[in-house]
Amino acid sequence: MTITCNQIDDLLFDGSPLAMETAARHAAECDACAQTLAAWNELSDTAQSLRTTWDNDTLWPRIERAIRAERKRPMRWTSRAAAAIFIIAALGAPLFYMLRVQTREAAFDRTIIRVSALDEVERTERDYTRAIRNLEKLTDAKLEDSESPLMVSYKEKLMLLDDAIAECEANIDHNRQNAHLRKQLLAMYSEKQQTLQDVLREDSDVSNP
Amino acid sequence: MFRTRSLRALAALLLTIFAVSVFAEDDEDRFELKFAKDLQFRGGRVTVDHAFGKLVIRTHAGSDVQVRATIRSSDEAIGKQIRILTDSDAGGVTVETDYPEIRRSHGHLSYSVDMTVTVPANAPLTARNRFGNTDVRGLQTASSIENKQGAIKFADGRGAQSISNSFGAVEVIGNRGNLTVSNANGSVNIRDVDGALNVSNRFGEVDVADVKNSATITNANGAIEAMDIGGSLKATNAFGSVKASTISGSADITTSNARVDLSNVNGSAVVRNSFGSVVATTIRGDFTVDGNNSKVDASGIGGNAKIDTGFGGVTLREVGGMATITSNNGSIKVSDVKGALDAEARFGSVLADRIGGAASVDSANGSVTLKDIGSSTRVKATFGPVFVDGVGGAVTVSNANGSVSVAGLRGNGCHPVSLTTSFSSIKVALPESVGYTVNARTSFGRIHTDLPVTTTSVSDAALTGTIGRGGCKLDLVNANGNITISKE
Repeated sequence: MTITCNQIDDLLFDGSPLAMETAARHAAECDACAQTLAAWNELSDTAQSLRTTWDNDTLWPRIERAIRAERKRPMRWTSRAAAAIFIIAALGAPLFYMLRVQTREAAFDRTIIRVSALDEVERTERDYTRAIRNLEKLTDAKLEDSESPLMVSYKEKLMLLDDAIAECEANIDHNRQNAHLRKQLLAMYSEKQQTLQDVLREDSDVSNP
Repeated sequence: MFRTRSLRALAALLLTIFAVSVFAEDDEDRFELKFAKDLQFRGGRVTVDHAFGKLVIRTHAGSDVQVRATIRSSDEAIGKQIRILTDSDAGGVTVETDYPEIRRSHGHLSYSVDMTVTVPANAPLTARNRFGNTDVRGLQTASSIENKQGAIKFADGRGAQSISNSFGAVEVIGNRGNLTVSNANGSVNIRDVDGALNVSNRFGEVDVADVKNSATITNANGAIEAMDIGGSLKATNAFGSVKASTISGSADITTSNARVDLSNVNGSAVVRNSFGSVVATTIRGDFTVDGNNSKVDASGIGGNAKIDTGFGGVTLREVGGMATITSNNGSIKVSDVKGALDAEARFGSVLADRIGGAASVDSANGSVTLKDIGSSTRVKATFGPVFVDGVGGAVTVSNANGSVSVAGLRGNGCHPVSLTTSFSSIKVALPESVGYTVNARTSFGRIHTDLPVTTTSVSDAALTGTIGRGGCKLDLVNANGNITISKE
């Protein structure tokens, strides 16, 4: 590539290896440009030697910006995991404790019912005994008068139920809130009520079920 | 600023949760104590005596007996006095729940012990419980489970097992061995027994299925249901229904006032019932019903059928052998019987169709209709009409106050006919191909014949002679009605 002396400055400002090589080739044949090139090289060398000690007014703001950027960067995964474990433990421990207490309480309630629930249970029992008493008034004569095998069977069942109810009630006297005893008593009251209703329904007609 | 707010919110949340969890504590005085003890099993028997709480029995491969219990009480002092007594010696291991004597009554003192005992799988066990449910699983040797006022659940056992209860349900799922269950007032539900089964109950339902051997079930006033019995079935009930299906052996059913449903029995079946209907299908052996006032409906009987009932009707279809039926006040309907029919009815009608053998019917006050009878036919009636259509043998009808009609005498052979009545008509249709020796008489009626009769004696009240070449006996005796001989 052939250049003129007017172009040497442009090549030096360009500074690329190709531009510098072209400028050097021209300077080899042109004394004036050779001096210009020598001066440029000297200046460049001097600048190189001064780079490390150059005091720059924009350096500190740049450093501050870099630090802020560093702060804004997301936390590392270990930090995150540690934070998560802390929160889970902080929230989970009381929750676990509460759940355990509630489970234990529920298990307790299943075996020994609360005093507050006892009133409801005893009210239901009273309803049953009232209904049974009314039914007994209606069925007594029927059971006494009839000697049919079916009525004898009903009588036997009622006697069996009465014995079991009495046994259950005797135990409830000393163990009032025991849930099983209460459930058992209610079941037997229900069974007795049903049996008395069956007796009431039973008539002397022959049927073919 | 934002970070501080977040931390404060988190702290508040934690505090709230903690407070809620603390206040979740019971508001009543509640005592709870855990009990744990391991005992070495050196042979003998494991005996558990428990009350007022759940008893769970489990097995393991080890050689120790592990007792775990939770003692609960509404009163700490009482709770602390409840003890689990254990002992281990060469005779076995005993575990007993011991409650203090409580003198106060109607107070709020309450207690309960839930217990789990894990025993060596091959250790024989006696477990007793009162006022609590009992749950047993995995016993591998003969054991005894007893409960009172609580349910029993038993599963995956092996060996002869004995389970008894009163006032609680019994549920058994799986036992490789014989099983005996007794209950007083509770349902019994049994599945998958690889052995003989013996169940007795008083006032609860019994439901049994998948028994490999014979099953004997006794109940008083509760339904019985038995399905898939590998051996024979004997079910005795007093006032409950019985439903049995797929019985490999014979079936013997007794009940009263309730329905009996029986199906798919490989052997013979006997049913005794009163005041309850009997429905039976596919009995491959003989079928016998003694049903005092029972309605009977049966079909697909492989052997003989014998049915005796009082006030219920009888419907019988597809009988491989002979059928013998007695019904006092109900109608009888029979069809497709390969053997003979013997039916007796007092106040109901008799209808028989397609009977392979002979038919013999006694009826007092109902009509008799017989169709397509393979062999001889004999009917004795009093007040109902008698219709016979299609007979392969001799016909003898003796009626008093009902009409007699006979037709369809099959084949070319001689079928002697003897028809008698007093206050109604006699009609008989004869094939032209057969010769009859006629002896007909009536006191207050007319004798009419469509077939030519060579008479030997004739008057207003009597006719004797021959039809065709004669030979086959035709006796027609009436008192106050007409006699008609028609051509078939």
